Amino acid sequence: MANLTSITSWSMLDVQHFARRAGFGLTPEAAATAAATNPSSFINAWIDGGQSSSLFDAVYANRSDVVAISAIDPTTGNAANVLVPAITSAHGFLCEGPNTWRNRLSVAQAAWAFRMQYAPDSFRERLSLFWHQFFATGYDKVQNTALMLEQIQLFRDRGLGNFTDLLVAVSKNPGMCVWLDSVTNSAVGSAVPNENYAREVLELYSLGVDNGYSQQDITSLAKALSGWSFYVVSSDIVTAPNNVTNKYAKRGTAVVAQGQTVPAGSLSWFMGALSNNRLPNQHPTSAANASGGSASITFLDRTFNYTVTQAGMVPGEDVLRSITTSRATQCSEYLAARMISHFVTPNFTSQDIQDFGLVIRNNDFNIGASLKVLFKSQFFFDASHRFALITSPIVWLVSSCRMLGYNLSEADSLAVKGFPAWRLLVGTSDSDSSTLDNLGLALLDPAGPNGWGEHDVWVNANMMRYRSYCSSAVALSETYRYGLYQGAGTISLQLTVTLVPTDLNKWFPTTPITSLDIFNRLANLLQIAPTPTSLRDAWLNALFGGNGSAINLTNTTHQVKIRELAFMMMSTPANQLH
Amino acid sequence: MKKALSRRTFIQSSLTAGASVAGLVGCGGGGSSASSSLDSSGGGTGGGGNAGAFTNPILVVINVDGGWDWLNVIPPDSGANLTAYQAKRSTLRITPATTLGSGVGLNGDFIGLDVLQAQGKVAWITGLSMPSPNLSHFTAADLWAQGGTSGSNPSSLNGTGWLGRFADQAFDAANAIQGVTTTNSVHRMIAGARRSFIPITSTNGFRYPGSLRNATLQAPYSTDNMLLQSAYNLAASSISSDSASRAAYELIAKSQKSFYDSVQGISTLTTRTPSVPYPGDSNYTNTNGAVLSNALSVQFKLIASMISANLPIQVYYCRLGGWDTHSNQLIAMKNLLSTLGGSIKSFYEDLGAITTSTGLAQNRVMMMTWSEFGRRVTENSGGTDHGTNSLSLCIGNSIKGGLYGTYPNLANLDNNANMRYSSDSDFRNMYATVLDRWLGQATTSTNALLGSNYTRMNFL
Repeated sequence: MANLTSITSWSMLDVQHFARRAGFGLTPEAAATAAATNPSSFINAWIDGGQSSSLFDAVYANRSDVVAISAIDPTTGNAANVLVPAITSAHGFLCEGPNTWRNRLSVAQAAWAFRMQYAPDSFRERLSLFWHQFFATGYDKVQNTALMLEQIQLFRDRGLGNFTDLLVAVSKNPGMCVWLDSVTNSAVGSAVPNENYAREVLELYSLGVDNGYSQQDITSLAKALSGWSFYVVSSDIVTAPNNVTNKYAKRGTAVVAQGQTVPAGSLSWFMGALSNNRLPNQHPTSAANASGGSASITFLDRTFNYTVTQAGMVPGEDVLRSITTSRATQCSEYLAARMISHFVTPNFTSQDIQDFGLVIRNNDFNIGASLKVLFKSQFFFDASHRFALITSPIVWLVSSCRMLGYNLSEADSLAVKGFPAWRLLVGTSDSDSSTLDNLGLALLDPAGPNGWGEHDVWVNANMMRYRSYCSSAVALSETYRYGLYQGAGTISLQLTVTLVPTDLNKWFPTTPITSLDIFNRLANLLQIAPTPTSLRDAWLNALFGGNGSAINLTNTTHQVKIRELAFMMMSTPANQLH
Repeated sequence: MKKALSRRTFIQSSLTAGASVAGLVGCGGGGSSASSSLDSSGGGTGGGGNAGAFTNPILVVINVDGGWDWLNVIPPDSGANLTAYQAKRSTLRITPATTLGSGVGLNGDFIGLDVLQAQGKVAWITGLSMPSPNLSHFTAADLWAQGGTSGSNPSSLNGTGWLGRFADQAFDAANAIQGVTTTNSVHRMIAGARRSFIPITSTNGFRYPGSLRNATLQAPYSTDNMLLQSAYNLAASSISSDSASRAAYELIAKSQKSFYDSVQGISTLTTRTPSVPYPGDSNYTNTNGAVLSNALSVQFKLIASMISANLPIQVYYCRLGGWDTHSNQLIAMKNLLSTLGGSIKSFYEDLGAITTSTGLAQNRVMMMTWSEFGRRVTENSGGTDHGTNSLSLCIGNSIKGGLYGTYPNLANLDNNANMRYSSDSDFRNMYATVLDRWLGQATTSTNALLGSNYTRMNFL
């Protein structure tokens, strides 16, 4: 059984374990400081978050994306086959707001990766990643970077609240409404409801496959959620400068479409004109226009009138909300399994699930309160769980950049900014051949609504190949050359960009004396799992002639060897665990 | 033949392993064995059995991912089924362009398959079904992948799929690459307990990306291969003693080593120039105005490169997604079918230009498609929801073309308006046939891999 009582004291190793699982790691120095504090207070503050940083906000908005590449020449409006920077000066990521029209998946992926690395509230990003893996929604169908990132922002804003509220909010989220076809779901008259979203709500987002529902329940929920859609008010419409017929929504306004009137100038969910500013009628208002002629539906053993709107809710919402009461045990245990397998261990028992499921129910499905119990528990800190989870590629890569790269103020103070060129690192391809795809976790672009899985899904020969690539990019200070846009029709080569700027001296706040010192510091910084000493000594012999060889950080030969060792250690199996 | 691949070790190791190498012994091909009795709709419309003598059959598995609406691929064209179909598909129904006979037609947007059909190269295996389907993508795909006898995820299968178990049994130790997937992830269907399929996803080379080239670090970093050897080989042999992390460590080390061993075998994999245009190529002739994707073409081109290079690969796995047509089906299906059919036909023709060391590639390759289910017979507003019973295609020079399996009775559906299960069309019947008559497994071996003695079909 899972011992969910809280720890009362902790070591630096415990702190690092927590920070790897509930964030993207802490440096050894920060972990040592935290180890001297009360674990409960520290964890509460970590999860509550809310830290803000005017520096981060300014950098993210204005100078984070040091190499932006656009497929469209903004002056000629031509879609260019060459990769050209649209804007040569430092700027933010061009994928939201007025730049929604650029609509490049890789820019949105880079923007989120940048947030993971530098946002002051790193738990929010880690939690949002969990919910993205849970409610996996894909750009491939949504085809709008701003709507994709709007959904991620929803996870930041609501991801620690009540689960039922989160489920309702996700069900109204424009990106989700497109992804699983709520926008075309009609239960009016003779229309047959579209079951896509209703099925996945039960299979993936609340109960799990075959866990307490029937096909009839899917049909009922599909009726209840018919018409859940959105429209786009005129101020949220962005027109592509090169083609005024191409319009993009920078956000959507959630609505249950029942034939009502919306503000003049609004467009439909697919950016089409609305006749007389009216939405189509997709959710019946009475038995007379309900699918099959009946307003009564049975859902999870309870009867509802899905045409009646409950106070404070939108039509059908009461049906959706009933899942966590009608199937409280199944839902809480499904959540428990997802959370434990993501944050704690791949090797859990059904008793562990039941124990944490009870915690979730006792906390009335409050996610933050439940996660605090989990993250403080003896169960979480059990030594058998340390390094027992395979790290997802994005967490691995972001964590490595945090440990080996510049911090935000250091990076921003450099004349040539020291931020990782995330756009180039994740892969400039917006298709299935980007680096993130090959690593196995294409942020914002899962292959299906079931997302990716956990643990051993992050390992195959090709994924390891790309981890070696990323390791060389980070540790070996790899560079990338790209073309420079010089004005209409003119492209000159070229600029050379360091993918992940690093300063070897910052890796070693204490001057290393021997080659073993180099290994030990890098192991501590990267927080790799226990490594066979035979492997360690093979590296140190090959690079430095032994594990006791004298080291001089100013020696350029040594600098090369140290980076080679960092590459070995970043890509070694023990560093794929957390 | 364009030899676009340079290899180091594969030919040598194949030669030393000699006839003991599984798959080098002749099997499959034109000479299929005695036919089974339960193929309900006959088949054998001619054209099969025209393969020349060859060894080393290759299976190319095409995952039609998302559950395709095959009722609109080969819709009824006469009789009671046509009446039922038209009643339940008031807006999405398709009028077939040609007929396959037996009351079944062929959607004119399945570009290229009409040609292959006319040549007798296509077996249409209809109504492939499983008992008690729950209409979930994930359960259905998992059951298709497992190819076992019981329900979802029995521990006896240990997470393996039927082709993975085949690999465990048939692939030899000398070759790191005998199974390849052109997808980023390794589907359960090709997951073995001991043997890995290698994901190779790019036509621009299976090698170390970035600053790593040809299994060495580049200047100013070491040109000594020892470092990478230690990273992969030594890590795999020096197992961690840490009990908490050991299992995961071993899993990763094994995957890294399989990459390392593979890349030693293929130091560079350059792009072979196809002999024919594929969908997505600028010189491909688009005959129906569909929006064509190169998603499958790039995988076929990569496979053709590897076949052309005589790599000892027996099974390739590729995927075309997007078939979950809950909405916008009329447009989506036209694009998908045109892409799938056009890509298959281009690949088939391209293989006709490749002569391998053991014969014409077109004779060595059989394609087999699979999709986790068909879709609801009754349409929703513009699309179709999850259903039952699927359609697989087996395509190649050795195939005896025609209709196989059981075309469902659309006037007698289950309570959810879905097609009913028929043991005559159990999907594992197709697997057993492919294992026996294409991949050269003995009957007892096939039965052991699938856990039961499934009825063999007549398409091979």
